[in-house]
Amino acid sequence: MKRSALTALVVACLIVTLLAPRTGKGSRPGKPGVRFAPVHIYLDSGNAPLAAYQFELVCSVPVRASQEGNPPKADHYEPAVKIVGVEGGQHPAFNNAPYYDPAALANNRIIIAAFSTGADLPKGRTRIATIHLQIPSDTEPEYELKLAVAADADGREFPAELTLETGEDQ
Amino acid sequence: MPMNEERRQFDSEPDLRVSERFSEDLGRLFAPDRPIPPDIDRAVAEAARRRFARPQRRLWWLRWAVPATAAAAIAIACLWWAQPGAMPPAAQSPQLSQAAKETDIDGNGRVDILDAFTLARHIEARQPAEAMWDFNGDGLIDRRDVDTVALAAVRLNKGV
Repeated sequence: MKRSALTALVVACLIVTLLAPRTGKGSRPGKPGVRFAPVHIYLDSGNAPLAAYQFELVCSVPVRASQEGNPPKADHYEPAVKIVGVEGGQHPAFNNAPYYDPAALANNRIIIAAFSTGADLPKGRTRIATIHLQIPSDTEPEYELKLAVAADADGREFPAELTLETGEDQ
Repeated sequence: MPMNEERRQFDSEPDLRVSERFSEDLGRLFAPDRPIPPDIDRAVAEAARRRFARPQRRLWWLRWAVPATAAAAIAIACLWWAQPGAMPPAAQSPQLSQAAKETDIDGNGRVDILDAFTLARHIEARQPAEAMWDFNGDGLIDRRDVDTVALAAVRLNKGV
């Protein structure tokens, strides 16, 4: 019995040792050639007080020449740009971390939303969230930003402009 | 009797020898009526050898099958947990699948943050609540239900 358990342990260690480098490849934090950068999301509500918003952000990097015509297989796909953190906005009404799916972390797509039932609401252009990304150091990501909804204190939707800025100082 | 001598007595091997007379008696008792031909003797011995050799082969497989299965199970578990984001779906977004179906509070055909906002305003205004808004099933309609709706709104595989 003891010998069987020992054999099982040794075989398991061997399998893990042989296969782990393949499955974990490229997912270890701090690997060389990676930088971290924030992306600041701004919403311009015009004259309307902003009480609720929801948007989707997709980050991607242009396909490199060496990968053209030879795209990675789906089962080995790992996004080059990864979302690693989400912060709230600058106005007190949206200062807390917004809602997002935790599955978005380590992914390149996220849906972010927040609301405030308070009386003090921002108007005009305001930073509503900051998203931290892990990016390959030799590439500049492309961003696709899509506003789902912006609403005032009564829950009425209004058109708004959603923009982003990159860089540390905001 | 001294203590160490008593222990020595118990520690010593038991005497398994039998007396010659007892051995002869046993021989007489189980002796065959007539002499067994050597052919039959060999055939019986061969059959016995075959009979006992078969389970040994089976045991050889068993001896390897159990550790190999255990090893494979351990290895799969290790590799699965080592993968980033390898959490069971239930741990990633508890109760969302059920909530996603029912959280369209404002009835506009989509689940978004306005549903959570509507519910939050309703709760803050202390207006009568509908039982179906108890999305987390704790018997109360409160901020936790608002969170459930909001999380359903931002769920990735739902779309915007």
